[in-house]
Amino acid sequence: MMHKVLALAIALMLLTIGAVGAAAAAQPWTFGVSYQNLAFPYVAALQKAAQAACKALAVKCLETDAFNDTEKELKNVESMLAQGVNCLAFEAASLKASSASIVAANKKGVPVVQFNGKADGGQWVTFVGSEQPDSGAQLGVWLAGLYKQLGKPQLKGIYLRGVAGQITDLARNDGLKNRLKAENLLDKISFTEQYADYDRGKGQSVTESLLTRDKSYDFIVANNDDMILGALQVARQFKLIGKVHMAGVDGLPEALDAIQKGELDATVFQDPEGQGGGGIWGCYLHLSGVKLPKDILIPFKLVTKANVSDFVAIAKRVYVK
Amino acid sequence: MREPETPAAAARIGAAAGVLSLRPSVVATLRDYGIYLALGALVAYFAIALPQFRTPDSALLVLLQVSVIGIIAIGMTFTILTAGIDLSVGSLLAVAGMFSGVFAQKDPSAVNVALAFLLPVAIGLLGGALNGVIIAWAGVNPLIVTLGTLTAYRGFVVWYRVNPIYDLQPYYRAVGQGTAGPVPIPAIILLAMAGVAWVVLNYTRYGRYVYVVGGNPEAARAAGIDVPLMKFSVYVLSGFCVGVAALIFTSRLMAAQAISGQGFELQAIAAAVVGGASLFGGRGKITNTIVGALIMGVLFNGLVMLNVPAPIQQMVIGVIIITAVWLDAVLRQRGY
Repeated sequence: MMHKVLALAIALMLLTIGAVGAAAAAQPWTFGVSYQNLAFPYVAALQKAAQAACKALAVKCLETDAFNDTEKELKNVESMLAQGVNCLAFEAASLKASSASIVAANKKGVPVVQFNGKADGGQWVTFVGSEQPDSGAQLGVWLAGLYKQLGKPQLKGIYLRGVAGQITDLARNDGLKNRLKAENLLDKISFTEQYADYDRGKGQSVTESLLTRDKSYDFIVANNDDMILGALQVARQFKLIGKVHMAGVDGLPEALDAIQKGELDATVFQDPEGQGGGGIWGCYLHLSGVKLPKDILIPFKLVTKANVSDFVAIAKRVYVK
Repeated sequence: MREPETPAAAARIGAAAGVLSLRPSVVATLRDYGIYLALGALVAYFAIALPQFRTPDSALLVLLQVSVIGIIAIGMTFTILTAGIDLSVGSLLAVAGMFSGVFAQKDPSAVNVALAFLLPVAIGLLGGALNGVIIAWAGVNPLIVTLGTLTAYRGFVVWYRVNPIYDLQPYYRAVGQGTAGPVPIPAIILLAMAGVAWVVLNYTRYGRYVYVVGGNPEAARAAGIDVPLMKFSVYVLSGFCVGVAALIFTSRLMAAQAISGQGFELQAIAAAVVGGASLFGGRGKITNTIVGALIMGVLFNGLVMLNVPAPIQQMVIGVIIITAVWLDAVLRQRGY
C-alpha cells in the first residue's frame, strides 16, 4: 500500500514537473527511445509526449520504431547503444522477446526505463505505465453502475474482445470479470463475447451480425475505443442509441466527443502524457541521482459525461495529426 | 469463362471421371458449379440452425458486409487471371480512404463533395498505375512489386496522418450506410461492378486477351497482343476497384484511418481462390469470385450469429480455403 502511494506521488510529481519542465537544468545527455509501433495513434501520442519531455529537459533524444517486431527492436536498440546513449527509454513490443533489448543495454551498462509496455527480463530502473487489469476493472465499475441504474434483475450485453491470446486483451478481460465478481454481479450480467481484433471495421461487422440476430442487448463494452466506435455506427443505423449502453477503453478524442454528444456512455482513459513523458523523466531523474521505485503507476480513469471535459484538453493535446 | 466444349475437353473430362469413378457429366458440373453447391449448403445449414438467418435482413447484411472485399476481389481476379497478384490493395485502400476523409470533413461545398467522392477513385487509379508500370515495363515480379507498395503505401499514409479523421459531414454517409429501398447501396455497387466485369471478361476482346495473357503468354505475344500493356491495365483496374472500395469503407465507418485495410489483400485473394481462380493465371470467373466472397461473408455472419469463438471461425475458414485449392489442384492434375 505504502509503495503504491509513493509511486503515485512520484507519478504526480513527474507530471507536475513535466508541466513546468522548462525550469529543469540542461544536461549534455542523449536518451534513446524505442517505441513499439508508431502506426498506432496511442503510440504516436506517447511519442508526442516523450518529445515534449525531451524538449522541456533539453536532452537529445534518438527515436526508433520497432514496427512490433522484436528483432527490429533489438537492432534499433543496439544501434542507439553504439551511438552512446546515456539511458534507454523503452516501450517493449513483447513481454518475453523484448528482454533481449534490455539485456543488450545492461551489457553496455546503460540504464533502462520501461514505459507503457513492460518486458519481463534483464535489469531495469523503473517502469512507468499502467496496470492493464485496472482498465478492465474500470469497465467493471461502469457496468456495476449501469446495473444499478437500469434496475433490471439481469443484464445482457456484447463484449468485443481484442486479439485472441494477446496479453492486454487477457488482462482487461480478467480485470472486468474480477471486478464484477467482487460486486457479486457475475451471474447477473451475461456476455456474448466475440473477438474483433481491436479493429474498427471488424467491431462494426461483428456488432451488425449480433444485433441482426437479437436487438435486445442492454450494453456493449469493448477492449478498446476503436471497436466501440465501430459498434457505435451500427447502433446509430439500427436506431439503438440510448437503448443500448456503450463503453470502451483508451480515451481517443473521438470517443470523448461521442461521450459529450451522449452517444457513448463511457471510456477508460489511458494517459499517454504520463506514460510517454514519464519514460523520459524516469531517465532524467535516474541520471540525476534520484532513487526511483520499481513501478511508477499511472492510473486508468473512468470517463463519463460527468467528467469528460477534464480529459478533452489532454486528448486534443496529444492526439494531433 | 466456360471451357469450350471441344472433343478434347470432353475426352479430358471423361478420363478424369474414370479416375474419380464418377459420370463425366457429374464431374463437369462439379467443376463449373461446385462452388454454388457449397454456398447453397452453407446457407441451408445456417438457415436451419438459426431462425434469424432466414430473414431478408440477414441476406442483405451479408451482401453489405462482403461489398468492400468483394469489390477488391473483382480487381484481384483480373490480376490473378494474368498470373499476377496485387498485395498492395489494403494499404492503397487506407491512402485513398484517408484523402477521401480529408475532404469529407470539410464544409460540404460542391468542390469538397466532389473531391470526397472522386479523389479516392483517382488515388486508386494512380496507385494501381504505379504498380502496373513497374510490373509491366520494368519486368519486376508482381508479388515483389506489390509487396513493396504494400509497405510503401502504408508508410506513406501513417506518415501523412496517424490519427483518424472522424468528424465527417453527414452527407458522406450516403454511400456506405445508405439504402435504395431495403437494399444497401454498397451491395448495389458491388453487383453493378461485378456485372460490368463479367461482361468485359466474357464478351469483349479485352476480356479474352486477359485470359490469354495469363494462360499462355507466348501465344499472346505471337498473336500480337501487347502483353505489357495488358498487364499494366489489370493493375489500374485493381486500383480502381480499391478506390471505390475505399470510398464505401470510409463512408460505412464514417472515419478515415491510417490502419484501415490491413489483411484485406488476403481476404480478396481468398475470395478469388475459393472461387476457383488459378494463381497460375488463365483460369477464373468473376461470378465465382463473388460467390467465393459470399461464402466467406455467409461464414462470418453465420458463425458470429451462432456465437462461435473466433479461433474456431478462423480454423473453419482456413479449412475451406485449403479444400478449395486442393480441389482445384486435383482437377488440374486430371487435365482440366
